[in-house]
This record gives sequence, C-alpha cells and structure tokens, in this order.
Amino acid sequence: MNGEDYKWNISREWSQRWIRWLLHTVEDDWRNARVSRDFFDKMRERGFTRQQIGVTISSSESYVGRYWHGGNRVGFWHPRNQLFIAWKPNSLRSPSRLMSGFFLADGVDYLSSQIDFREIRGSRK
Amino acid sequence: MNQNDFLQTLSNYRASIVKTLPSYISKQLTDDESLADELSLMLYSRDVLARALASADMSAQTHLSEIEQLDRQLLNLKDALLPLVPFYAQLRQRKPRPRSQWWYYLDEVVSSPPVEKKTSINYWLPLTPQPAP
Repeated sequence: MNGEDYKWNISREWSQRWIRWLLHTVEDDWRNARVSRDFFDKMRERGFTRQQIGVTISSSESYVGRYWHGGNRVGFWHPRNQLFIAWKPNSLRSPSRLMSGFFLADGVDYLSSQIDFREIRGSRK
Repeated sequence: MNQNDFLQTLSNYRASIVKTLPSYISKQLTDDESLADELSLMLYSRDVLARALASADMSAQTHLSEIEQLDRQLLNLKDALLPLVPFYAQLRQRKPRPRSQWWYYLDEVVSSPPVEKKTSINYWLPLTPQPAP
C-alpha cells in the first residue's frame, strides 16, 4: 500500500484537521479548474452551473462521503440544488480533480450504496 | 418515490445509455478515469428503477417499455464497454449483488445463438457464475 492509498484506507480515523484539508483541496482544485477532460462538456449537457458547483462543494449543507468505484472518490451532494459532484484524490496515476457532476434526487442514497462508503460529513441544515 | 424523483432517475439512465457511455466508446469523451463515475451513475439509476418496478410504482409501470428498450441498448453496448472498465467484475466481488441485478453481470451475459424466430431479447444470463477467464 503506498502513501496515497493509506490516506484513503477506510479503517483509518479521519481527524477534523484532515477533513478541513480535504475540503480545502477540493475547493482549490475547482478554483484552479482542475477537472476531468470531459467535465465542462457534462456541465453544459446536464445544465448545472459554476455557481451550483461552488455551493455544492463548499456549503455546510452538503453531504460528503468517500467511496470506491474503480478508484477512490469523495462525493458531495447538496440537498437543495440536488447536484452531486464526484472528486478524485491524488494518486500515482493522476492528480486530484473534479471528475463529474450530475443531478440526483437522493445523493445520500447514492453515496450509501457505493463500495467502501464512509460518511465524512453529514448535512448541517 | 415521487414522480419527479422517478423521472430524474429515468432521465439519468436514458442519458447514460443513449449518450454518455456511447461517447466514451466512440472516444468523443476521453478521460477514461471519469468513465468510472458515469458507469456508477448508470448502475445506480438502474438499481433505483428496479426498486420502483418492484414496488409496482405507477410511474415505473408507465415507462416499462422504455426501460426495457434502454436495457436492450445497454446489452448491445456491453462488448464495446467492458474492455474500458477493467474493474467491472470487482464491483460485485467487493459488494455482492443478486443475479437478478443482471446489470452487474454484463461480463457473464452471453448472446444467445441465432434462432429462426427472432425473440425480443437475444441474451441470457447463466444461473451459475462462469469461471474467471
């Protein structure tokens, strides 16, 4: 297991400091347009906006969880705008970036159905 | 499930099958790591539709023929799609799924031999798992 994998070990205790670092890193990736090559195509096609993305990844109302689906992911779902954003952490293969976005009626159900799901932060309404 | 939630889910499944996954196959979309996220959305959407169908949700029953049509399109995509998602079999190994959720077993679904009378779905899923290649 390499260092990056260790960070995402599901049994690892995540400190509040580490969670703050994670949330800051996601926002920093978005500010610097570190996104998948297809991200903006999907954004246009699915009709979500930059403002909605900003809200979804930074609002304390958003539900945040980690999971695995062919690679480690952190998902953000905002209960009011119903936008789900998937972010991948840095790995040996590629740098961290926002991977995709789509609307979901119930993002909590989506996250909790995923492999190795673990809640990082519940929604604070 | 209310009508809007159902339609949102059906819309996600339709877009995955008709547009997004074919765009990865045809290389119009090129970030192969993000394909994992689109596959996840397709599988989850089909899970939710299955739950709606099982609960005799009227919205689901109304759209049954479209769901079946999309299912056939998914089966037609499988041979081109599976080589792009080498982790696919791990999805059910790491989180076991009943074989009734055939969309997690696309790699085990085989085309049926040609028959004189054309049937509506020319695929079948063996009842017992196939040995790993």
